[in-house]
Amino acid sequence: MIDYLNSHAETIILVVVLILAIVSIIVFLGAIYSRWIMNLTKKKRRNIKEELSEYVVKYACGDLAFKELEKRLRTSTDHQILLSIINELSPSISGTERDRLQLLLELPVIEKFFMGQLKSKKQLEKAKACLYLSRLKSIDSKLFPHLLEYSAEEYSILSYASCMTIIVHGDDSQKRIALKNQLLNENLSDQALNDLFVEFQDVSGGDFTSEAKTIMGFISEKIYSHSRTALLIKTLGELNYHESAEFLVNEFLQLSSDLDEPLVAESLITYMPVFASEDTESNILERLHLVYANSEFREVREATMTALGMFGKEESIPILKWAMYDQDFYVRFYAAKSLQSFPGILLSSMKPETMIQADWDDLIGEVNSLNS
Amino acid sequence: MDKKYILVIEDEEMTARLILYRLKALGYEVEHVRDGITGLKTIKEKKPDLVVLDVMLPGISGFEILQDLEADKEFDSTSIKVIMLTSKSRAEDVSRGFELGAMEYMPKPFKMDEFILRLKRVLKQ
Repeated sequence: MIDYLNSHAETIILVVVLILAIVSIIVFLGAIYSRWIMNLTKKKRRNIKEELSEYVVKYACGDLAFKELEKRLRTSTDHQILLSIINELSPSISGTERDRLQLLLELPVIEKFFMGQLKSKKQLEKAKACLYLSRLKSIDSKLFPHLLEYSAEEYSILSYASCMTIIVHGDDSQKRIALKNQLLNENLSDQALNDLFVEFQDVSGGDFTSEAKTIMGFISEKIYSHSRTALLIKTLGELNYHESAEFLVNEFLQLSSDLDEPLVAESLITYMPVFASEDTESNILERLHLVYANSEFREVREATMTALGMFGKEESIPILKWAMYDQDFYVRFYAAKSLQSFPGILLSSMKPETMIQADWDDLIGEVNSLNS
Repeated sequence: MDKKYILVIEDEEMTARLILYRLKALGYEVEHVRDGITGLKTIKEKKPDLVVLDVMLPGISGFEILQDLEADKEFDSTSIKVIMLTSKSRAEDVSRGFELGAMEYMPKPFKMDEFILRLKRVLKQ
């Protein structure tokens, strides 16, 4: 064997080099080919978009018949591009043009395409189909079991999209299940969840009774993460619904003093000045003064200083003055801002002895810029 | 009567296409640019009769374009008429646009017919 290798060494090296060269050429040509195909596909999509855009604009303006546009839609790429054009244009226009675009969404060929995508093996395609359904005026009730199933998927884009569709078209119980699935889905961002709650409120038509009840139900379950609970509190607080006032005040008064997480306390404190009643105000203020003004969490102290300013009770002035010595700039800032809202308080004469002049000037400058 | 020349500065492709289509059909000479820097340059070079100006633009914003024109002695609100077009419908944005010389303001989403009516009115002023 060794003799053979010695005698054929040059040939072996030549063969190896040749093989490597051939493989390199194949890889190189493959890269060029795939790039070429990619550019070709991009160009093709750009051309289709260009052509379809003209059709859609003419159709939206009433200069092209529905049938003419329908005839132009031949492939699944056409359908996808048409949907992206509609999505791009719809937020900018209203009236007749927008109504015409809505009709396009309900074209049988488009609907058939997305109904097929709803059963696709690719989750992203299913999500796109769900978002399409959310844009329709109504959907077949037989779709809800699938949508509810999708809303429990871990893949956040699909769970978000199906939940959005359920919020738009579903009943209260279906919405509750879908939203609950999102609250439990750790892959879904708070921002995405916030968007869903905004839609949840938008579709209610101005009467937030059932929305408020649903959210209060979620908070009472106490099974969600702190950030989710804080988001639920903020959503409920922003509904400004009378029924939620008593609920939020009770949640605050029952909040444990031994906080291990500041988010929930911060969000509840934010809404206390809005929802406190004559009966509960003194209890709330007492907890703010004794517990939360002294919290180890900066966010909680900041929210407390803002809330004390909004309550505007003179008994809070010593607490606010004391907070001017806080180690955190923004706690001092909110305390100063709140102090300034009290009549007869001259903020410029209240510089804490320990604070250097430059920091004090910064603080006063920020407070004044907010008032100007 | 001379053909009026209208410049549309709008980064949303489809919205711009729709506006351009309607304005061309009405017989106006129209041009579209997608960003603030090119928009400002085109205004200064071509001095359009009217500018349809989006607030949120890549490069420089619609407000910055108006500020620049206000500071330029060659231009005043009578030489170039501006309609602001934006998703922002907040009162402070509207008043800021008017303070900087815009003559009309269309919050998105808008009705095309209403937009055309306002545009014609501004052109007549």
